[in-house]
Amino acid sequence: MECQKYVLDDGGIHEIICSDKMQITVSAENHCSVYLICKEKMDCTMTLVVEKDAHLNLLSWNESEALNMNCEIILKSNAFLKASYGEMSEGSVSMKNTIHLMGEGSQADIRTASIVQHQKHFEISCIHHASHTIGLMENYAVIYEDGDYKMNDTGKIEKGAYGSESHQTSRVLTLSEKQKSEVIPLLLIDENDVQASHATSIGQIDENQLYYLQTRGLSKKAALGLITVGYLMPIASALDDEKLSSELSQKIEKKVGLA
Amino acid sequence: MAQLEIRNLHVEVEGKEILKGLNLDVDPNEVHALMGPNGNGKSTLLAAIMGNPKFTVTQGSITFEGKNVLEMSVDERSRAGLFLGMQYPQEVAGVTNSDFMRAAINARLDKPMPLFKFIKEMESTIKELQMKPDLAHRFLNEGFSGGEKKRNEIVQMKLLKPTLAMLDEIDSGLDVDALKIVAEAIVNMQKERSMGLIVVSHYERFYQLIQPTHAHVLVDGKIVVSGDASLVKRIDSEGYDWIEKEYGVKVEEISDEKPKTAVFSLGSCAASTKKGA
Repeated sequence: MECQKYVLDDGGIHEIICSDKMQITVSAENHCSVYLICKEKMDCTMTLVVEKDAHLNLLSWNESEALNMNCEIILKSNAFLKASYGEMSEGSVSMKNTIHLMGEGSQADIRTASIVQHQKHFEISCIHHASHTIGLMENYAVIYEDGDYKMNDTGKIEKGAYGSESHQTSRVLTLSEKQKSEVIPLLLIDENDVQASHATSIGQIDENQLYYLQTRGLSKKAALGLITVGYLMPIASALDDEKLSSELSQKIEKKVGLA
Repeated sequence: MAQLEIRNLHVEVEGKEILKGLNLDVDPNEVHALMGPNGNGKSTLLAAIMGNPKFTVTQGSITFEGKNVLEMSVDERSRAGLFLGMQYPQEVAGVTNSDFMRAAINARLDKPMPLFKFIKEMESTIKELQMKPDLAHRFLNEGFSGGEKKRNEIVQMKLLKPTLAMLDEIDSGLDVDALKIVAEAIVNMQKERSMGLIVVSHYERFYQLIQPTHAHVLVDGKIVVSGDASLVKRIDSEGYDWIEKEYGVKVEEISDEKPKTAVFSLGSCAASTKKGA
């Protein structure tokens, strides 16, 4: 199978359709955005390299009925990656995502927003190989009936990666009795001079909030939708593109039953 | 038949009877002051009219414009023209005030209100209540001071234009200046729309500004005395003791009227797993 190779050496937003095997490289000092869309059922292997002093703002949007993704990300010195994963497909997802902070001063901000109606399992690891590296992971998920959500979130700081930071936050909202969700945050730290934290919450919708919204005339469905949208909406504006933001906002509203 | 008609209303909370046969009529253009010591059922009455699921009506009837309110869901009651300004407004993170209000307004229209018109209306209402212009984009009541939350209730009332509004201690948490602003906004709207009002407050100062046409004293789940604004004055100067003597009822303050608020639980800092809801 042939590997699709992309070398990005100019700014702006690049739209890339997900293929089975792909490699994306952001050239040194280049600042750009990528809108990665997955439309079909597939097994995808991706390597992403952000070279020295380069910035990448990545939005991955999954509409496939079944996605199995294996992604290796390498950040060179002072590289910056903001990666947002919109996982709102009705299908299943299995994702393994490993971020290597290879270069000094590199930073990765990883954010996932998921609507879970079937099985969606994530394994995201951020490995700090160099000093003064930052890895931030934020996960938001809304679990519907028959949803099966699993998030294994690992921050690993190797010996010698002093002055580094690893932070993880996961917020899970469960909307049904018939669901399963599991969040396992892990911090593996081999260096003293570091900062690290993790926070997790899994909970149902607050009945008092629901009542409050209903007293203003919103049906239960609309009230639920509004609260749910609050969880997921920030992902829609991940890329600085108004047209895309409003298109994705509308898709999210439709998915939670608002539109 | 009155616009709002309550007959022999009995309401329970967690198996305990709070309202024990209450009658009340409210018509357009009437401003009813609801008084009585804490814990005697004032908030319970308003919550039962609005349909709070924690309050169970065991007997009696509530009709609004001839319709059986007890058969309506909370949101149907709102769309029918009832409004409850709450004593403890909820904070809802992630939902902005403007998204919320737009959804609430559109829920009662056949065709959604044009965005531009909505923004203009929201802006002018925020201005009238003298709140910060960024209110629209802030999350619903999140991080608001007590006074800001109360003003925001009135912003919502103005935008939703109810036929009958119930205000539960809307004046608590407001300083003197804010009290005037809020009272003025309420009175203006009441006059403009001939709105009916039921107001719960402990303060004569607020009633002076609102100018009730009717006043009631609620003791042990029943209205024991009804009258006009002079009743408010008398209670302010003499307290409730004279009611005990003249009407032969025991007037007691019952503590803990504040509803228990459920907290969205944050799991412990390590792994969390959950099956079921």
